[in-house]
Amino acid sequence: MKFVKYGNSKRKLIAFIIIIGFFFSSYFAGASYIINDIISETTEGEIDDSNFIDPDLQLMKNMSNQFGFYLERDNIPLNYTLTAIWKDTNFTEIEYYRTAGDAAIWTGMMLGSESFHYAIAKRSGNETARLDALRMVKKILTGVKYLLAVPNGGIGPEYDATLARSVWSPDYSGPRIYEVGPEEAKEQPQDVFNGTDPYSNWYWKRYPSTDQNCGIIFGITRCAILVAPDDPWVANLTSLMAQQYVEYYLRTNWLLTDGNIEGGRRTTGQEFKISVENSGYWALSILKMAQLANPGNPRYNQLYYHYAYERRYAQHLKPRVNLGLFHFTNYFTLNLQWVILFNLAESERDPYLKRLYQETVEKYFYSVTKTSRNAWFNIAYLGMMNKNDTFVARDIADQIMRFSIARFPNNITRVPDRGGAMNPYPPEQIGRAKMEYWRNFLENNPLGKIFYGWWLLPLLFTDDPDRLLNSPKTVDQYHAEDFLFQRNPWVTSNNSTEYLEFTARRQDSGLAFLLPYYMSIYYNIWEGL
Amino acid sequence: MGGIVTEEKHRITNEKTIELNSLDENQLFIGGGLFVVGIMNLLIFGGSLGSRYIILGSTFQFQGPSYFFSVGLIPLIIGLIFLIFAGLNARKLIINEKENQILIKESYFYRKKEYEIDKSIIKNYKFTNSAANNRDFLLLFLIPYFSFNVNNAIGNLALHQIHDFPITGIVLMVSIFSVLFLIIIYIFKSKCKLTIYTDKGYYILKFSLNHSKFEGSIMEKTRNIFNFVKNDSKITQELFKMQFFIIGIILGVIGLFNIIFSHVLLSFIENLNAWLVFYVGIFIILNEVDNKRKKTLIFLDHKKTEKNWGYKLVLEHLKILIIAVIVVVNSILAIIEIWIGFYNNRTFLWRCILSSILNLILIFSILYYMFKYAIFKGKN
Repeated sequence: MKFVKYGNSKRKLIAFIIIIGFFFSSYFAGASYIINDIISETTEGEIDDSNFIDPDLQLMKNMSNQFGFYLERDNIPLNYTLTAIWKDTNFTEIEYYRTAGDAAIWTGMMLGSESFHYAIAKRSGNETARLDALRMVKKILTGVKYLLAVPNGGIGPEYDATLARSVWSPDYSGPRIYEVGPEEAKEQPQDVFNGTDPYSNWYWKRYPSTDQNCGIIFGITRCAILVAPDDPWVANLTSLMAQQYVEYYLRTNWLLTDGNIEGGRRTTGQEFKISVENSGYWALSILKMAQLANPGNPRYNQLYYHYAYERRYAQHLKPRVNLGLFHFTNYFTLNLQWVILFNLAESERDPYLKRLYQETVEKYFYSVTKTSRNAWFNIAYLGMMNKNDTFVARDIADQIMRFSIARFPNNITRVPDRGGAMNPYPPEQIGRAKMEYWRNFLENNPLGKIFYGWWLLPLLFTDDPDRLLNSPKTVDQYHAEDFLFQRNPWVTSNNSTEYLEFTARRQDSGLAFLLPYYMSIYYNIWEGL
Repeated sequence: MGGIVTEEKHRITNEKTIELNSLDENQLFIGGGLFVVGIMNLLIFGGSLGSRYIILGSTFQFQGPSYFFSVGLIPLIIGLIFLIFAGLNARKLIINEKENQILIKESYFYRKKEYEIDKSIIKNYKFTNSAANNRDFLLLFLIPYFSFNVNNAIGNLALHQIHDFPITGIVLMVSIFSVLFLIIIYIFKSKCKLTIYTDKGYYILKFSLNHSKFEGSIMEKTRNIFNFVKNDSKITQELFKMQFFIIGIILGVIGLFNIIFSHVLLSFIENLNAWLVFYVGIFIILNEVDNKRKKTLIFLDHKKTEKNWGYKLVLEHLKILIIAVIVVVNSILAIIEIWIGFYNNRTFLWRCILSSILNLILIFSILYYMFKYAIFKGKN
């Protein structure tokens, strides 16, 4: 039993709520202020364009031809993209392949890139160039087909849509592909499995994440828009794959799941629940793919508008977290968000939805990456916004042109996409004042130490202070990467001589050049510069 | 604070004494059950916070924690809290009347408390068998828990690879079992509240009884003990309104249907509304079930001190009022956007009409309930 004085309890309760509310809101407002202040260092400020390299369209075209040549010759042994590791720097024999764990995302994005390639070749009126581009599209689309078919037993809406990170064919006899294949199935039985009949003598690397899926969704959609209208085989395949994805997601209630029986009946569970709680543009982007890949099928048209309007997904486009946080850690996550939103927003023709998507791009995406000098994000921005911006266009051209400039220490360029050289960081580029200030506050100030140090320090300061940059890296300052524009431009790359020697034998697909280049030509952003 | 007490046995030592050896065996039993369910989940799924190789799968996100965290943790915590509360509130309770005082003795296993309240300062009293003040708090936890698990388990049913292992079954059973258990405890246990008003404040004594015993001897003895306040106290009965109950059922079914089947059958309302409408439906149903049994022993003049009906409506239904506003606004916006969609695309007129009708049903049902409830409270 308790005794309550008249009036007292309510006053006490209100006072208690106010005090607690004030304490909590002050605490989190403080943390929010610190985080936002640090983020602002990478999202605000001016880009110095005094050293921008002007676009040389002929040089860029030559470079794209070279990238295309090496891509087809060295990086798609099974029609999906891999990183080739050469025996030595004479580049005469490939020793083995790497990055099979992330092959699906880069293959999907490469399919999108080649679709843009096809579109510009077609527009140029050069039939040879068009057929050449179509051949590459079909090749990579075949790779995508097997990434989807091997785990599920086929292509079409009646099959599941668990995506392989990479696959291995019994007909393949080339250099070893690390992370997938019969040897890996023995060494990593928890990750590598036989395919589903009729692919039971294939191998596939399982447990795909959102990364892998968003790349493939991007590729199928671009292919459906730009290539499928001209080629029945492409149209049929993109239509079936898009249906397979959507019908599977509807069956699994939008869970990105991957259950297996061999390893102990496990499911990776809700790797990602593609729901409005995680931002509406994820589900809408997948439905948009199906709508565009099945132009004559009213089901997918209705499904898209049903989710956009009736279920109001188009009203819930805000990302789950402030995307600026990815400047601290997991920068690659930004890439996934851009890929999936571009897929949706660029192809939208409904004026109301287009406006909603463009507002989202401007407010939550471009605002945090506009100073990152990321050529892929920038061209995606121009594509989604349907606008010409001379400064952004020059910024993109500068980054693309920098693939051709000589690098330290041996004056080689990044054409083809090989490592082994990288220009150093000038001392004035290193260090970030606000970051240092707040780090010092959290480490040494009693207030910072007591209230925030225990959780903000490990959250925000994952990188060595000496690795932080106050202006973003340019293309020549990156070492070899699977996709350069998914890497954090605000921290230094490893440019030790030992590491450069190690990466000297590495050759990536050239996606970082090809995608922004083809898109820039497609959107005519350098016209009149 | 008295906490919740269940009468194990009661005996009348004389006309004006109530003696209860109280241990809330329901709370103990349900707490124990939920605790065991939680522990079993922990043993089955493991307690890993996140790894690539969680044998029976990870939840929430890629390489996330084991299923224990989405399925077993809440039953474990609630079970533990129930067990602790049941233990801490086990007590012997004696209420009797002396010449000039009311004596209330509470003997816990860890302490004894005795209250002597002078009759001269007692101005009023109220004894009611409905004090379900924890229910809404629990529902706020349980409905998202239930919705999340049922919604995801339905999705896992489509994974033929795990059909021979009952992950989905466990998820469904545990989440439904936990919620049912917790709802049942509040439906079939009558929580009593004795409030004694004095000059300077009021005493609150909470305990629970089976309905039959409340209506029987305990109510009568309470009236006897407090008959010095005034002889003409009376027992009031809340009215069960069938129309409210039906509205609760309609909203609950629409919400639940959308939560479970929205992905397959393409429901006509948005996700947020589905959850909120389900919550409102359950709330109204429980409220009406309560009213069916709720009786209050009050001093006749008590109503004069009661707040007006508008204040009461806001106070008692603040949560529902807030949710109702969200649902109504959301539904109106949904109708507008549905027709913007039709104007732009002109692809699915029949869907637009059906969606609009369903959203209008939601708006009408909730507004009808709120207005009728307000009028009803005003009259009573």
